[in-house]
Amino acid sequence: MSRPTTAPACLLRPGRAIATALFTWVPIWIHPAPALAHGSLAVGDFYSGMLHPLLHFETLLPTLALALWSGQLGSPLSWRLPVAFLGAALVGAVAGILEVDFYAGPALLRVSMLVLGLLAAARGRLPASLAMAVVLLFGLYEGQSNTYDPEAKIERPLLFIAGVGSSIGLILFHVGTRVVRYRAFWVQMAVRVVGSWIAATGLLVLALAWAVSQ
Amino acid sequence: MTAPSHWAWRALPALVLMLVLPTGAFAHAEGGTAGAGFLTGFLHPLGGLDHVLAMLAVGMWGAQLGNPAIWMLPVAFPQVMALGGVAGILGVPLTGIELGVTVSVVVLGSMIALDRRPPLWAALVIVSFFAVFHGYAHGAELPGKTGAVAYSAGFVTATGLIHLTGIGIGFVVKLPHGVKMLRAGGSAIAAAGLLLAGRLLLR
Repeated sequence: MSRPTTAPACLLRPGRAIATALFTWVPIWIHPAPALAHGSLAVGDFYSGMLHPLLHFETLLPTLALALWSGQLGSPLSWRLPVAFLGAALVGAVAGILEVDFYAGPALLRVSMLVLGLLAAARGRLPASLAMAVVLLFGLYEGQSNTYDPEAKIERPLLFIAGVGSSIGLILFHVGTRVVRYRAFWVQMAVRVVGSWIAATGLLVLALAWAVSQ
Repeated sequence: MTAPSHWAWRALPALVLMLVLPTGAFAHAEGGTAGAGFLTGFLHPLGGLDHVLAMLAVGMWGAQLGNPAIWMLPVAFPQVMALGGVAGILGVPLTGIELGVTVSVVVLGSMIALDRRPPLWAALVIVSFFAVFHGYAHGAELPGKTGAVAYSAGFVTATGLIHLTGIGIGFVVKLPHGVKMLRAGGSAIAAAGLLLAGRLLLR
């Protein structure tokens, strides 16, 4: 894939883009914002749906890991996997609203954090059908986890689900296309390092949850 | 389209949000909210001088060793650290944690100072040895409450950013006299490690 010469300069400068992302997200996470974390911001259902997968690490990290992993695999998996994940997440979210609950706690989200993070760190190549099955399962579950949250007061579910879908899609395609596009050595290194961070987080949280349950 | 402005300007909205959003609930937010959990976890690895020095040394050594080590160390380290963390969480008995960390400061600093280039597997073993102790020390202190994910994510991110800082420092080898400067930095770390070990043994 060759770079289009007419692309805006910001797209051709991964360093700047990553610096902007870091300097935007790290302050937002570090900044204590109890009002946001409780998901009861009075901004309408579309926007609270949009914020939901972004402000909860349990949904943000697996999504990010999938983008980092699938972006390294090249076409066609680099777009098929995100599309499958997004579709499954929407189905899962609708199922949650319709009270078809298969949500059994956040354990599988943490497993997906670990698995997708390891795959991103190792640039793992699975058989296409297995990769698709894994992504569909995790996507279904992640979508469900967004609408299952009993603290979220959802009045207009369709708007909420549209918000959830757009922010998941935004992460997947925004991050994924950047991973596909930039083949510089240090970008590939950074992608795998971040995947490794996500897997380590998943492993720690799984162990912690197991220890608490004992 | 005009040329994009400096990234600092584009991060301005986040800064404004930080200043405008309420911070009042911070005091009682321990482990409660996502933001506070991330902050607590993020600050945790930065609190101990021995841990910070050893992780800086890991990054600097990776940069000194060059390609594959420069990326393999920061990719492998979090995994081994998390395994050590699991051992700490599950309460697997492991003694001499603090001594292990200070010894690894001395060893890693000396490796840089002496410009040692062992085979990749040996470098990975040395770094993993430290990673287990580091993870164990922090894993034993992880909060078992809500916000555990945010805490762990902050903890891992801060650890990784210290590695990247070490790699950044390691890039001084590209400068004239850079190799000497890096080796001098390694000796400083090793000396600091010796002081820390001495303080630990005399306590």
